[in-house]
Amino acid sequence: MSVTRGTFATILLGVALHGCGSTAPTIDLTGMEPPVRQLIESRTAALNKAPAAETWGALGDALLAHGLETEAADCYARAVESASDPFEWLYLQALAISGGASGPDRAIDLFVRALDLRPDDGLAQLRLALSQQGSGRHEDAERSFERALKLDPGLQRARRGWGQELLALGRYEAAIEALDRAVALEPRDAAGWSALAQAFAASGRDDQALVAARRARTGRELPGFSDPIWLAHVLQNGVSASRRFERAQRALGAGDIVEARIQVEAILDQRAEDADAHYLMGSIESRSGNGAEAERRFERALELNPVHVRGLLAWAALAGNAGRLEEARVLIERAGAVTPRDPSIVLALAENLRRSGDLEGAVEAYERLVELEPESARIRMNLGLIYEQTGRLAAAIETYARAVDLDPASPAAGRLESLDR
Amino acid sequence: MKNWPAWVSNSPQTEPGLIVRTTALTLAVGAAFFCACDDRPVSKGRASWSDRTTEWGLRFRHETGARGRFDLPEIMGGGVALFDADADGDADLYLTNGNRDPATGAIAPGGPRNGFFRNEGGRFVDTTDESMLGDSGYGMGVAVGDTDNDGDLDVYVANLGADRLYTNDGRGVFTEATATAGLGLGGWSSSAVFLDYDGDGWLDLFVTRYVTYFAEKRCTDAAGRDDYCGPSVFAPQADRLYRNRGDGTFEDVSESSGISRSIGRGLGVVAFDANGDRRIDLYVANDGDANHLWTQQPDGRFVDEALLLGVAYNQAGETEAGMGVLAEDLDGDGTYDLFVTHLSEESNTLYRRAGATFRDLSGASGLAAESLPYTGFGSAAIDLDLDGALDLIVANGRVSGGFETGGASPWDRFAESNQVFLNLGDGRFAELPWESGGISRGIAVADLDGDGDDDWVVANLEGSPEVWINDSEQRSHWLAVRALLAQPRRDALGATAVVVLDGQRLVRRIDRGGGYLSSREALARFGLGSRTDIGPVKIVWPDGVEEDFAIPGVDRVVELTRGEGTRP
Repeated sequence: MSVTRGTFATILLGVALHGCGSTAPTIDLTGMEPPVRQLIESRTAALNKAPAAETWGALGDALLAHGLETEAADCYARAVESASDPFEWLYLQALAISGGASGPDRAIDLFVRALDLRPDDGLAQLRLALSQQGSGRHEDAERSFERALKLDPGLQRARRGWGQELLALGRYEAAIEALDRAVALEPRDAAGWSALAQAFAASGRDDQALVAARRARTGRELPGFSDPIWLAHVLQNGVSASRRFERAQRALGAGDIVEARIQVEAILDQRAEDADAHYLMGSIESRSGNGAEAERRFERALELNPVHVRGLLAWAALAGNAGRLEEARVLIERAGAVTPRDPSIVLALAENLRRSGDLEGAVEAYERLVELEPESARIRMNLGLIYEQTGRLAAAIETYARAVDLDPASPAAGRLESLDR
Repeated sequence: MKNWPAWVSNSPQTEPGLIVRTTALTLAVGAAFFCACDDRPVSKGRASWSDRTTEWGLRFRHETGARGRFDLPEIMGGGVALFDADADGDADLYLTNGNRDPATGAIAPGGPRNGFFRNEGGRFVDTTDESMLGDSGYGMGVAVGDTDNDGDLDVYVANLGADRLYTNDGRGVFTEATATAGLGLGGWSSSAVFLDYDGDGWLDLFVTRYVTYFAEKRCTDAAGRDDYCGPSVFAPQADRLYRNRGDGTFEDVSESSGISRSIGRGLGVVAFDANGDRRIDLYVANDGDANHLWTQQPDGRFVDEALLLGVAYNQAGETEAGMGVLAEDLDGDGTYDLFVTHLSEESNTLYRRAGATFRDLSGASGLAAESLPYTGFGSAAIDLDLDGALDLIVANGRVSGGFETGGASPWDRFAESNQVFLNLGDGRFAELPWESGGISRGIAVADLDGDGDDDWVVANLEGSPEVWINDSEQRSHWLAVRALLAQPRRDALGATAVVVLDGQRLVRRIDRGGGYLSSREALARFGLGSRTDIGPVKIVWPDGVEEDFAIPGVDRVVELTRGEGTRP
C-alpha cells in the first residue's frame, strides 16, 4: 500500500497525535502499519493516565523502535527528569538523538552523564566513542574506544573504531595493528577492510592496500552489535512488517531458513493478502525442497499482484528446473515485460533459451546482458561457452579473455588454455 | 530471430511537443556577515548576495513527476548550466527537468522539459522553443563544450533514459546530433564533463553512471511508511568515456581505456590533473562506494588510484555517499584540493593536496561539523569578497525520511538550508547565514551582471530555480581570464591560470565541469584585494606548456590565446 502525495496532507490532519516533551511534538502516524500505530496510541494513553519515568520511557521505547527518534528523545528527556536512577533513560535519549539533525554533540553530553553514573559500563563507553567519532572529535574518540576495549576487549566494533581513529590521527602502524585485529574478529567487516586499506596506502604499503580494498568490496555492512539495553527497551516493542521483510530476506540470504520462516509467518499473520510475503514464503519452501508448496505460494503471490517480478522469476526457475521450459519462458517474458532492463530477467531468458536448444537466441540474450552488466566475468564466461558450442571460436577466445581480464580467477582461463592447445 | 520478446532489444524513444510550466516563487534576501571562530571574532568586511529571480524574469519549475511511489530518480535531479550559447558575451541559462515517468524516464507527450533562457541584459528570457533545447528526457546532468570545434558551445544532456547531444549553430539554435554522434546512452546517467584527455584537440566526453534502477523495488522506513530506497539496493554501474573522433562521432573507449574496470554509483565528476604529471585525470564521487580517481597513464589508459592517493575513503577509511565534487585550490597553496558533498550524518569532505597525495582535513578546515545535519549536492567555489581566497557555496536537500510535517507541500519536509562558507585564508572556513533553500541540487556560477564577481543559479527539485546575485560592496579588484586555444579557437578546458599575489601563487582552473549535474562558466576569476600590480598571468596549457601574458590592467576580462604569450 502506498500513500499518494496528493492525499498525504489530508490523512495527516486526521491522525495527528500529541506526543512528548514540554512543547508536545506532533507525531505523524500517516502511512504507519496499524500495529505500530496502535502501540504508540496505547503507550500514549498509558502515559496520560499515569505520567511517570516509566511511562514516558515506555512511549520513548515504542517511538525509537519504529524510527521516530526525535520524538523518542523528548520522551526520554522527561523520563530522565523524573527517574531516581536515570542511567538507562540517559543512554536511550543519547541513542535517540545521536543520528538526528542536532547531531552527535548533544549525544556526547548525555553519554558522559550516563558514564558519570556507571563509569565501568563498556557499552556506554563504546556509544560515547561512536558519537565522538561522528562529530569528528578524533582524539576524544580514540581515547574512548581504547577505554571501551579495556572494559571489554571482545568488542569488535570498538576495535574497528579505535583503528579508524588512529588512522584519522595519522598513527598508521598502530591503526594497521588495531584494524588487523578487527577484521580478524569479523572477516566480513567491509568498513574494517576499507579503513585497513587506507592505513596501508597511507603508510606506503600499496600492495597490501589493494588486497584490503578488494576485501572491502566483497565484505558487507555489519549489523549493530549486541546491546542489552536496546534489547530490553526497544526490541521488545515489536517489529514492523517492513523490518520483518528485511530480516527474512537477510536470513534467507544467510541460509537461516528457520529464522526466515518465523519472520514471514509473523508477516502473514498480520497481512494474509501480502504478495511479497507469499513470494518470500515460496522462496523458503523452495529452499526447503517443498517444490509443490513453493509453486502454490508463487501462484498466490501472482494472484495478488500479477506483475510481481520476483514471483514470476522464482516460479519460472521452479518450472525450468522441473523441465517445463516453455512454461518457464512464458513466466520470464511476463517479468521482462514489466522490467526490461533487469539483468536477472535477461539472464533467466538466456539460460532458458540455452537449455531449450535455441543457441542463437541465447547468444543474443547474453550479448544484451553483457551490455547491461559489462563487469560480470561470469556472464562473459557463459557467453563464451555458447560461442564455442556454435563454432565461433574467435569470439569465444575474445570473450573468455575479457572474462579473465575482469576476474583472473574466472574458469574462462581454463577454457582459454584449452582453446589455445 | 524466433521467439524473441520485444523488451530484450533497445527501443528508441519518441519526442513529445508540449510544455507545462508554472510561476516561479521568488524571495529577496540580503545578508551581511560577521563570523566567530574559536571564540575569536573574525571580521571579513561585508558581503551580501540576494535572490533576484523575479528581477531576472526567470520562470521555470522543476517537476519530478512523482506519483507517490517514491521512485529514486525523482529525488536526484536537476542540473543547471551557465554558458554563452549565442556568443553575445554573457551567460545564458539551461536547466534540466524531470518528466512524468520517474520510474523509467520514458517520454510522454506534453510533459515537462528542460528550459533554456537567453540572458538579455539582466533578464532571462525563455527561448526554449527557439533554441530547440527543450529536451523531454528525464533530465539529470548537463555538460557544455565545443564538440565540433566550430567555435560555439554544444550541450550534452544526461538523462534517466537516453542521453542527448545538441550541437549549436553559433546563434544559440541547437540541433540534436545524438544518433549521428553515436551517443544516446540509455540507463541512468548523472553528471557529465567534456575534456580533451588524449590531447588531439577534440573534446572527449566522460559520463558518470549511477545505478541500474528497477521501479518495482519498494522501500519503507522503520515504521512501515513508504520511503525512497537507498542506492545500495541497486547495482552500481561503470562510467563511460567517449573519444571524439573529430568527424562528428564519438567512440566508446570505456573498456579500452580502463574506465570500466571499476564500478560505482557515480554522481559527480571533475576532470583535472590530480597527480601533477600534466595529464588530465578524472575524479568521480560515488554514492556509497569508494570514490574513483582515474589517473591517466602515458599510454592514454586510466588506472584508479583513489586509494593510493588518499581520496577513495574519508580519513577514517569509510566510504561515504558522494554527491557533488569540486577540484579547486581551497587552501591557497597553489595546488588543487578536492571537496565532496555527502549525505546527512556524514560530513562534507575536504581532501587537501599534501605533497604527492591528498589528506582529509575536513575537521580542521571547519567544513565538517557544519555539514553533518545536511545532505549536500551541488557546490561551487567562488571568491565572494574578492580577497583572493575561494569561498564555498553548497546546495542541500534531503533524500529520505523527512516525515516531520507542517509545510504546505509534502516536499517541504525534504527542504534544507543551503550554505555559504567563507574562506578565512588560513585553511579554515566559517559558515555565513544564508536564508535560502528548497530541495536544492545543482549550482552553476557565472558573472551574470558583469560587475566582476561571480553570481550563481541554484536548481531546486520540484521547485523554481533561484538567481543569486553577489552584490557585496566591492572595494576589491579582480581579473577574469579566458584562456583560448588558437586553432580551434575555443576555451582551453583543462588549462590552469596562475596569478602571483603578494608572493602567493593563486591558481584557477579553466573548466566547465564539477559540482553536481551542472556546468559553469569557463573563466578563471581572481579576486585581487587592493592589489592592481599583479604582473603577468601564467597559463599552463593542458599539455603542460606554459606561457606568460602581460595584462593591460585589472578589473576586466582578458582573453589570452595560446601562442601569443611568452615562454618562460
